[in-house]
Amino acid sequence: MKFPNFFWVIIFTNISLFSMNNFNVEGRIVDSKTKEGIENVNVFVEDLGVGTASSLDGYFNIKIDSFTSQVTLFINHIGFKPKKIIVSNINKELLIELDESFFEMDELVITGTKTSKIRENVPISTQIITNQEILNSGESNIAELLSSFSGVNLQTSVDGGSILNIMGMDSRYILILLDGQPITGKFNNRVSLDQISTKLIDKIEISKGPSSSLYGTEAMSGVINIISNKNLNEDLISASVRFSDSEKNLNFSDLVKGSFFRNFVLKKNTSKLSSSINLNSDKIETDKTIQQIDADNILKNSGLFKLDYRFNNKHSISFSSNIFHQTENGESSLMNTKTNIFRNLFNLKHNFYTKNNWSIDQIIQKQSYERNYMQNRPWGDQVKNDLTSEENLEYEIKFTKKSKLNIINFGLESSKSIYQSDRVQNDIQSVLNNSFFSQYEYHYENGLSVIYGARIDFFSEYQEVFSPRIGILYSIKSNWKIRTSWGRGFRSPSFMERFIDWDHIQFGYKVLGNPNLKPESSIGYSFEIENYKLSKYQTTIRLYHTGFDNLIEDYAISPGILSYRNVVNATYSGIEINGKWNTYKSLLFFWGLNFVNNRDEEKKIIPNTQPVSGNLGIVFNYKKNSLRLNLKWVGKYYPQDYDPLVGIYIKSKNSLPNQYLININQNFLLFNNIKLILGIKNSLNYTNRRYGPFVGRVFFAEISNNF
Amino acid sequence: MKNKHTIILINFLFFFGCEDKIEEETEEEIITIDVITSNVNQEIFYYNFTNDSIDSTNWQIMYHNLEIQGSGYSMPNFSFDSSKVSFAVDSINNFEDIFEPPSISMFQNTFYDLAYLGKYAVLSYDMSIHKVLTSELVYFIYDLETKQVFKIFFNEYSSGVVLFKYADLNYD
Repeated sequence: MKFPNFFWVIIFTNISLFSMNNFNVEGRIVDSKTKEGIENVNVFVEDLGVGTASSLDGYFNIKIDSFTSQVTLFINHIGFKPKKIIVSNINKELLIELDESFFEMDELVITGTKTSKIRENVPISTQIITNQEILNSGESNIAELLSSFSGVNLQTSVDGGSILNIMGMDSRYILILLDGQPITGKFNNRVSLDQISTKLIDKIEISKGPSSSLYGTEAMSGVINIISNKNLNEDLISASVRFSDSEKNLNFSDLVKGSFFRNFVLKKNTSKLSSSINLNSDKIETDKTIQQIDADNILKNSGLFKLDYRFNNKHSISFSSNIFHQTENGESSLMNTKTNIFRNLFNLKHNFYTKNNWSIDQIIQKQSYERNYMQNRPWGDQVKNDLTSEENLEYEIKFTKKSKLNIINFGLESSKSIYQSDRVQNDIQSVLNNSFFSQYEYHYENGLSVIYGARIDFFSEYQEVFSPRIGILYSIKSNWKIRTSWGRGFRSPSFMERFIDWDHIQFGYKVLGNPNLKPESSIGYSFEIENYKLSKYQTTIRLYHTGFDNLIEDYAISPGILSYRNVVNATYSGIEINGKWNTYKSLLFFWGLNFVNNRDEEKKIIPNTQPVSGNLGIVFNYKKNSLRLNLKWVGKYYPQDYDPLVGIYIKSKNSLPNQYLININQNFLLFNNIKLILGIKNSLNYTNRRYGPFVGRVFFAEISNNF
Repeated sequence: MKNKHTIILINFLFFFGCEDKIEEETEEEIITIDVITSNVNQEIFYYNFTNDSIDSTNWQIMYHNLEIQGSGYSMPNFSFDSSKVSFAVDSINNFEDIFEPPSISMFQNTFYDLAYLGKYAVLSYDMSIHKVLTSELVYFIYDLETKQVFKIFFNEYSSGVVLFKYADLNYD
């Protein structure tokens, strides 16, 4: 593969010396009420992409190498209102006072435009799940975290793993990214989000509407970007343990199934080098009598390693490695099962800032995924031993130019995926994808911003795909925003749909991959009105409509022989209403309401559509402690069933009643840096043996310490 | 595979009343026999409860793939020889808690109720979770010739193989 050489050539040919303004900005950040220093405040220079964090007593020092004589500092911390400060090249000490706040809104986001911007200025509708919300939620993995919000529904697939429906849409139509890069290794065509621990992540950005103009395949109706913990200029050692227990019935003596989770974080920094290690281990004891899985116990181990090296304020390199291993074991009188999953990700980035506000970002990423599923009879006969592996190598280069508020960016992506399985036609298959993307964001006068973008993808196996997008932001006064966007999206057929031939053991039918499948395509519109007052309230009403062409569906070629084809058209429409309100001192309300109307080409409601769902929550902060209640409601809907006659999913004959899920968490700061979290998930113990949730009420306790 | 045809006598559960004299009178020694069938996708399995043996010529229960009419697929299914036995079901008690046979009037001959999609189907297919499930009912068969009654419980289905257990209950 030529990528590494090419990568290094680009890096070193780009290195050059320009005349710079070098200056230090020092200061102290304090609470405006108590005047006490605040530790771990993010101090970020948006234009240069450099940052630091304040020390234990609130002091910070940041070295600026800039072509201009002044820069804008963005000051941000959980629990305080963010602040922007313009500083010049005069070395001086700043005293920065932050006001307390209990919800964050104007975070920096990157997903909607591939450029770091403050959320309120992004023309593409973007929802943030902040670090504070993640901490308050008490959820242990991404799948559980997302499903606690309205409009997101988590189901267990028939083959195991989790299926997430977002905005009424299957998660295979939403691109899932980790730090801006796609995640390789899908099971049942979907990324297993329960494999990503919330301890590894800093925040989640959800960019809504077709985004294939920037990201290519799968971004048909949105992008979820999971952003891992950043390395800031802080030294830290922290450890936490968490116990959870579930009960099957309303009987406390049944508290026997649950998990034991451990997390360890080490961060060490020098003036130029930042490094961190984040280790997680989760041992889960399942209850097969209620959960539809074959495993008695599951062990998940993961590690995130990061190194950031800053040569100067023009050049920086970062390396990250994310390693995941999962083992599942199950035993019964008739079958023993074992599943091994390995997932490795290596990522190397180089950022280069030139004069005239150009920046060049390069990324090379290698991912591998392996899944081995074994079934053995207790008396020794082997029934199944499936090994599937996938490798992906990707290179991306992106050029960005900022001129006042206007931004142009363009870049190239090239990736090669190799899929190996004894069930794959010819045992091995590969797909090569090259693409070019470009985007221009122009700020007109009178509060109007327009973003124009397009991307063309070339595939080795089928025709190129062109994906344009236009997004408009209009600011009415200072606290009213209107966003609207139009775009095309697509999803290229998965390996499973194209290449895997497999037998359904029970029904005796065969499913054949179809290598001639074309990409599915979509055209989507969205319209959003947002009213907010910084750190006080925010309400967003969003309407969306996505029309799909060439959707891939199962069909019977002949009795007992099934395959896939492009035939189905469908429309997905809906309204989302979200809000937050910081009412009185330490009291925060948040809510969401979703109306979904998904119809097939015969205008019939698509099975599994949840027409209405909502959530209502409250967070009460007192001193360093907090209490959070979240009610999620899912209205009556028709789930989907599998019809073995034709091998497709159909609408169930019976509807599911209203569901109410209540989670309650309490965070306590015991003493020094020792924190305790106590919580109850699904406190009303709502379960459904057939469609889930299978696990009822869960109690958990977590204790953590920063050394 | 021989071992697939082997009846595994995993345990003999002896129920002895220990302290309660009433239980002493009602609970008798009941021998429970566990049976693992062959793989239904490879061959048909026949069983004779009276002789505790696999017997393809003189059987009371047959485990086979039943073609679902007009569907193009087959389902694993248990059938009983209606000329030799009648059946009853208990949806309330656990297998281990049953020591007496049901009243003779409870037995019936509507064997289609036991087949796939029947009211008392032994095996069913859960469309939402893609699995074949065993019934939670306890079944009784009454041998018309020997007058013996057997209670039967189907524990588990896995990739064509079923584990069930049974015990002989007598009218005394």
